[in-house]
Amino acid sequence: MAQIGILLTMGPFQFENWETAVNIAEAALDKGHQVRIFHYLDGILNPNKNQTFPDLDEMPKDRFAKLVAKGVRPIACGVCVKARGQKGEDYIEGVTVGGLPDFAEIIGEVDKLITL
Amino acid sequence: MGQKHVLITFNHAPYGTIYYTEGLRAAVGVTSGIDEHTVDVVYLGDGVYFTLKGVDRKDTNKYLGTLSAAGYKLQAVEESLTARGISKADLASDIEVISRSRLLELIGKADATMDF
Repeated sequence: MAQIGILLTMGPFQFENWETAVNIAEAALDKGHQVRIFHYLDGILNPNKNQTFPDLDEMPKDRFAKLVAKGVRPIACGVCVKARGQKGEDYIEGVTVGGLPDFAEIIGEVDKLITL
Repeated sequence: MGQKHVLITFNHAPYGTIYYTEGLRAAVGVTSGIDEHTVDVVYLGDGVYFTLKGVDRKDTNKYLGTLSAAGYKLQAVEESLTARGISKADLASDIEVISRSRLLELIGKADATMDF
């Protein structure tokens, strides 16, 4: 079993990076690997629980919630969160607001890091 | 847990996106944890425009200062410079020029890579 780290910098709705990240994470989990996710820059907007968009059947936050249900504990960069006017309570359950030292810890623990 | 070596590349020009400064913040961040990860910082593609003399570094000075104090050099890929008509005389004094083959070596020895 390996640990996969994902650094997600792109936001929801304009780019598919978040969906690629979730798909990779789900595939890795299905194979028994562990997944660590760090949300950086606009990437912190992906697990925002207040998302609404009628054209989509499933919001990015819902896909991340499924990862959380499988044991993933995403961390969002606190500086990025504050810069974008977000707060800890804006996130789905299981996502915590942290900082780059958390990302440094993730790098220390993962076998592979994917930047999206 | 454990010390890792992280290659951080800058492919985006220092205008139009925030990557030129947020990537440096990430570089400082990954060196700040208890594992004391090490980094290489390399500019390639349009990212090399950041290495020119006279580029406004107001947003990046504190990160560059931290990296410099830790002994890290900013490296620019020669082939990317040449392709854009940039000579070594056009570069800021703290830029070290490396070949693309040297970049490949850096990629090979890195435990993780991040691109901004």
